[in-house]
Amino acid sequence: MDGHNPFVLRTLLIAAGATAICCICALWALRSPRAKPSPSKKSRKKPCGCTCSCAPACGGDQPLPLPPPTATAAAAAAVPNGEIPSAAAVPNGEMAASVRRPRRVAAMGSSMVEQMVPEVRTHALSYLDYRSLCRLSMANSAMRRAANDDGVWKALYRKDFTVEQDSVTPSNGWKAYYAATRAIVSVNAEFYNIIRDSSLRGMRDFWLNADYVKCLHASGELFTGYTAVIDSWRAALNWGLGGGPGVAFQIREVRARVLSDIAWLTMKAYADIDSEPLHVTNVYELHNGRWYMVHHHSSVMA
Amino acid sequence: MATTGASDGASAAKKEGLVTLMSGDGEIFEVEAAAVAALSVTIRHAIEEGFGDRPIPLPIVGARALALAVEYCRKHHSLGGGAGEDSAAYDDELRAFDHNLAKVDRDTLFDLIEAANYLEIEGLLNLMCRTVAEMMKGKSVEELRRTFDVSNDYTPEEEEEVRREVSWALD
Repeated sequence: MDGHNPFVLRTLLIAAGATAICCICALWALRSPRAKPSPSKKSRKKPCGCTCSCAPACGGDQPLPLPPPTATAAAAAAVPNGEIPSAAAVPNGEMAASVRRPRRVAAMGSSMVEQMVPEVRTHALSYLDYRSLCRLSMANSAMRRAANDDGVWKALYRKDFTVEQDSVTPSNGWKAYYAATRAIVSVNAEFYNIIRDSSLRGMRDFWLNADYVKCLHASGELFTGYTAVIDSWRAALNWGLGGGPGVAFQIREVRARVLSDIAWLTMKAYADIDSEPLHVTNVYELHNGRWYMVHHHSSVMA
Repeated sequence: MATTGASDGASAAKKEGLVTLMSGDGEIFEVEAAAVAALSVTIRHAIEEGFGDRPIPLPIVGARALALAVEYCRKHHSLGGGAGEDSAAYDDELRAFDHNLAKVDRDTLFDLIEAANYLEIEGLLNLMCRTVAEMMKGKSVEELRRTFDVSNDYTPEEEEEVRREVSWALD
């Protein structure tokens, strides 16, 4: 017996895996919107033993509202097909309300948002902006679970940044990746603010002080090492980048790829609307919680 | 799409062009098959599978939501031929109709989402999901709690943790 332990363990693992898959399938089947309406589905409904008068008290742990067949159902069926007489419609309405109530009471603790079918909830929350999602997660723990849904953040990433990187699986999830991307995009925008403001001090702070940093200006000149790079910017910021001091570049098509402590971005930088853009690659490294530029490459494309 | 008696083929509707739906709470609706089949994938499949001559049971759809969903189907079928928002047929009248439909109370809204998902009425599902999102947009945390009837269940430590979690977005 002892000799078979590894085998037994593996069998157990396989069995556990199969059980998990079965559970997932069962859940999926229950929640699938494609499930065809069928009489068998109807027969799954169980009459609520406690009757509707106590429903608010007893409905708390019923996960899904499977409305019990009611006397009204029989009454409605008894009505000749077609118009339901208003006399029948009135109690019907009351019944519907009282049947529905338990779910609403249950909703108080766990929120209707959380009770939505997961794919539908993802769809609904995908219409939100990142700030609203973050505020939602502060409302309570159920809202937080809903608002932290990975699918929502992936959809938001695609909407706000790029549909590229579809094959990427961020190690800390899409929310973290979204936040990291937003952070680096804003750091990168700061680079162009520094140029616009002709701020040499800003440029000094922006670059990593290391001998391997490189800067390839649109002129074609290459500078290596912090001192040479900063000197090249001193010249560029003093005399302008071909268009007078403080060029206010418009940057477009910014694409960022962020790993834990390195990020690179590509973009087009327009000095003005009519001229050809510069094609730019910027590379950053994270040091002590701050992103520093380590590489800048700017090219004029014919 | 506008053919009468959409339940073509094997299942002849007992009344010309009508199909019977039964809500989860037992209400019976007789509606134009063409209209609901054009908008609802679930009902289209049910009719194709021979449900045309007996009531189609819709166990998780309540009567109120079903009535609104049917109204949506009728309107969109007659005015837009079931076309989506991107099509030219989605005109001011349809837009106004959708706008009004989206004003339902919160509970009905969530019921309608459930119904639209079950009935697979894509346009209605999108409309209602967007409406929920609109209810959330730009609201303060307190307003969100009020709107969705949730109470703050965080411990002070958890609250601090969440605050840190979202500081990148809100600071």
